[in-house]
Amino acid sequence: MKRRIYDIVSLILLGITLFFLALTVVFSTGSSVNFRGFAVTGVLTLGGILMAASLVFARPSGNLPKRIGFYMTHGGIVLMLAGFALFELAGDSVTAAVPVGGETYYSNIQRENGEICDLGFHFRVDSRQIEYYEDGSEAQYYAGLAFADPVTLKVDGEWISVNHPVRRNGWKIYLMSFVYAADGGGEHVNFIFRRDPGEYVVRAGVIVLVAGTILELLVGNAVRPKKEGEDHE
Amino acid sequence: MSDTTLRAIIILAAVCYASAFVLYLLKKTKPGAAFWILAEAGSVTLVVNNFVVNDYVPFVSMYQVLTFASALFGAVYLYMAFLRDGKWAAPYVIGCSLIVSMGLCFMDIHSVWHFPPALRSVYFVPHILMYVISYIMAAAAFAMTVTKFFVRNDPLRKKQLDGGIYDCVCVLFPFMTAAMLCGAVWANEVWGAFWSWDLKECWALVTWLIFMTWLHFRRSPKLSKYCGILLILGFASVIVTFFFVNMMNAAGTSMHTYN
Repeated sequence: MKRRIYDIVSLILLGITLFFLALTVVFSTGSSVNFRGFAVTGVLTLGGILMAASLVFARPSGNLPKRIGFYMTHGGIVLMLAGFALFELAGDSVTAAVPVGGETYYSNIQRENGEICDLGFHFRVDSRQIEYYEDGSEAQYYAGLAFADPVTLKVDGEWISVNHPVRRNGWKIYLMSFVYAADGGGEHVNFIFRRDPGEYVVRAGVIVLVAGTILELLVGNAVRPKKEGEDHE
Repeated sequence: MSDTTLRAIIILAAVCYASAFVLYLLKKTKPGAAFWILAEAGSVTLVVNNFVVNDYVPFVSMYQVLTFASALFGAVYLYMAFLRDGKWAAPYVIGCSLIVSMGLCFMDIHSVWHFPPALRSVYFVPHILMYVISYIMAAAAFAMTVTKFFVRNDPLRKKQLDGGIYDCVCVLFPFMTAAMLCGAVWANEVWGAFWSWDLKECWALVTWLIFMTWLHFRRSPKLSKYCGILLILGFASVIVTFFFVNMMNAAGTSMHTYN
């Protein structure tokens, strides 16, 4: 019975794999595929249930590193899926092109659908810099941000660059690119503002999953079987 | 080093790998090992030269990554031979090195290319390094899997190959997992999302899922007979992810295209 359940779970895993393979092949031809929709409805629910069930009902065999690794790999995936679910349920992400220079501080960002998103802090872009390689190609973008506290009127500055987001008031700010407004409105900086309550849960899941695969497959497999002819597992 | 010298080293290394491969197949392991060491010396020289030219890790072009991979197959053999009792795996590992080094003979060796801002990250080196390790283990496992189809009537050889394939996947999978998730954490720092369903990410996920399915199937007496097909599918997916994604239609919108 236990073996049959294991085979069914393995076949469901094969089904998920082939489904994603088919979607990816279609996507590769240039067709539009709503991966995120499939992932949110399918992977988060079915994958989460399968992994949680594996954790509760499966009794892993093998040596101690393999058994601990089993729980860590499956637990790591559950953690990651929970982190992604937290963003879907309570997270937020908004993009904005903010003009460089000027006296105005911004705290409200208009979404693509016209809604206003209150960031809960006031900021402006004071300056921007581009670092170049010797051959003239672009090496790094920098923007000098100024954050103002509307109550104390205290202003503090911080540099942001690509690969080095800035955290403020629960939001993570990402510098994406520099653009010139088509209507002659001067230079703008493209930002993504993201509030992700699941970020650290996903990061924890990443660490647990990677450590689990190392324990289960590398360390667990390094421990030699005692009897001659015994399988690696 | 001049272009002519580099080309000469690449061709000589390929010739040495080919000689070593043939000698190992003929069971002449000592002269085979001598040619293999010469070939590895050539590959390592190319890697060191790339390092000096870049003044950074030699991963800035397909040529440099493949040169590194070609040299790293030697380390795969050392792992197999001394930690997994797999000295028999030499021809498979040399065969993989030979194919890669033959490809290098036809590649552009010039790499005047700088990292765009998005690639300037502490995650770059571990991400690429771990993927290279996982991909070369996948290549070795693939070579053994294909051989297994031809030795169906030799149960001892089949068992030996089975063990070798499993040993390869046991290294491949943790490295592939770490590489993919390192990329996800990096993407969260640069693009503001762990996963963007970009074409390259989709193929990387499919590859990972295939090997994860392989690991599950292997433990089942009923399903393990399909592991060979899954591994071939997984390696095909590796090839698509590594080589062909940038050529595909949707790659124009890929965030992983930097040329």
